[in-house]
Amino acid sequence: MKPFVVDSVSFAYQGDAPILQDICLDLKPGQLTVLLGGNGAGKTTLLRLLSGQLQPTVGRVMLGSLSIATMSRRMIASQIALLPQFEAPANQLSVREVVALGRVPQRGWWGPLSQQDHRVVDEALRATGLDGVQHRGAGTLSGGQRRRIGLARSLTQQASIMLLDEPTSGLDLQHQHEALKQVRGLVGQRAVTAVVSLHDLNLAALYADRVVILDHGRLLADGTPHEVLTVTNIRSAFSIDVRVVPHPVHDAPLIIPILQ
Amino acid sequence: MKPIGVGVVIVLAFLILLSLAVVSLSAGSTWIAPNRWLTDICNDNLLSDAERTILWRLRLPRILAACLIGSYLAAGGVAFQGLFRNVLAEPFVIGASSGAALGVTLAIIFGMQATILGLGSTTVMALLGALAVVAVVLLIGSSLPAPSTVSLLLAGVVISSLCAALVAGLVIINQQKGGVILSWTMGSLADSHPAGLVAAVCVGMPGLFLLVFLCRALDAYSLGDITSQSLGLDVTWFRWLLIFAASLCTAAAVSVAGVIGFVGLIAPHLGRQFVGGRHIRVLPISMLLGAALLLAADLVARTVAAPAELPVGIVTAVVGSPAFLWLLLSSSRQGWHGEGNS
Repeated sequence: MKPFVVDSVSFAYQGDAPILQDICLDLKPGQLTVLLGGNGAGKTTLLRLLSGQLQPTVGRVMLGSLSIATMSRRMIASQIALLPQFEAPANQLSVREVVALGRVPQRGWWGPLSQQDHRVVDEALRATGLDGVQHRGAGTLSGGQRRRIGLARSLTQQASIMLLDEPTSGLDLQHQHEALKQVRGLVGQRAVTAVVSLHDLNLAALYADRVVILDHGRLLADGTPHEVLTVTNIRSAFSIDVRVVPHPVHDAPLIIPILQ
Repeated sequence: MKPIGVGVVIVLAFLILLSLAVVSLSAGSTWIAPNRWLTDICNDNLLSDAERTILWRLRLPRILAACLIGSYLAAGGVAFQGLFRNVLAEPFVIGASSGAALGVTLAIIFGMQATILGLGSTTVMALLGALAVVAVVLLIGSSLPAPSTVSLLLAGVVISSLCAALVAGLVIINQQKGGVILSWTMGSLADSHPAGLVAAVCVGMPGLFLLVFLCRALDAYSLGDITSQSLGLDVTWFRWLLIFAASLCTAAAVSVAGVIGFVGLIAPHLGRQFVGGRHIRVLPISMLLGAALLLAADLVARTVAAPAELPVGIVTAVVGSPAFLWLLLSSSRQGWHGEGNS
């Protein structure tokens, strides 16, 4: 597994105020990092920089000895899977066809899928609970089911780095946990480097090895859930008062908002 | 969505096309029954020389032209609908037809007589006009700081309007040639000749092969720019390649038959109903259906008011307009208007 390093990265669209400033992260294999921050904090921009879809204004993103900026799209896709925040509904394709597109970075743009590819697709469909609707039109499913299609496609990519932008948005409680358990499993079994942006602080506390909080484009805090999810940090990032108590069942902090 | 046997659908579409070709060969100002010309192929004394000329010199090239042009227009439709992620797009949306119309208008008004590689001046000018407009649209699109399908579409609309205005102005200034120009812009297969077909094959086939190669990338592209890039697609290059390939097909069609609308709109939509949304399936079935649609339209155009002949573009427009409205209504219900992201 190659080291994945964000080296003093800043980003701004031309002529605009900076969206991210001086971000340094060393993302390790076998670690699930959760990005937290308010709306507009820079989480999506950071994930797009990590995936090579945006280029830093200052600094660089290094994958092993190579800067992401010098790598081809195909080379990046064979190592990094990105689940974007929004995705076109692809009404014209079936669920299975959309999920199978995740094999493209491994198989190329031409030629049929192998038996092994089909097995990987089957596995991802089962893992996301979509095997029963695999032949339905992708656009005919609910928002939450479509989110799971995107997650299944990312799993099918079998990349060593997974970047998931709000993978639990639109999912019911059961599927929120199923999705994160799935990612947790890959991190544990295949030493995948996972970076996941979330809005639910308690999900972050339960599943993250490491929590990074962004605030107005700057890195506010970086560490374990216990170190980062503190009353002070949460008040700074989200302007809300909370009480942080030990989770009654798990070894994780439990964040309880206090109504004013 | 699960496609019924794709092979079965393709064979059925091919049989429909073949049946239409048989009827087209037989029907016209003179009816020559299929059993007579089939027998004549084995026994060359059954038909008169005049009948043979009608069959093999007049009708057959026209049938081949209808099949070729129909399949090119359908392939262009598949490509442009994929590019704009919108089932209401068609080959002429980016301005190729208006560019071709301007080229032909100039050729007719200036009385160009030269032939290049066996092609008449109107054919050459149609081809140049179509490709020039697409090139200008691409240049405008690529010079924008954030090129997107929407900006390409807008550039196409603007250039199309400019070309249409120039054509209208030239027709008014040169009223004695206005009728000829008008009849060409209505679309017709009446002047199909082997040299034109050969040229259309040479221009359109490379575009067609490129489209086949881009089919899986088109599937990925339908998921949006960010997702398709995350699957390894260089979206900017892909768009240019797709537009180039589709424009070759469109320009080849326009150079032979003029402006024929709606085939490129309807055929891909029909094709998707039968084989689902994967482009590697949609492309061949749409090409077969496009060929069949244009062949049927041409059959109507040359028989409905025989011995007079209607421009085939009028027939496709009369049938295509209600079909377009139906598409508009059904796609509104499905909510598939193209995602519009860049």
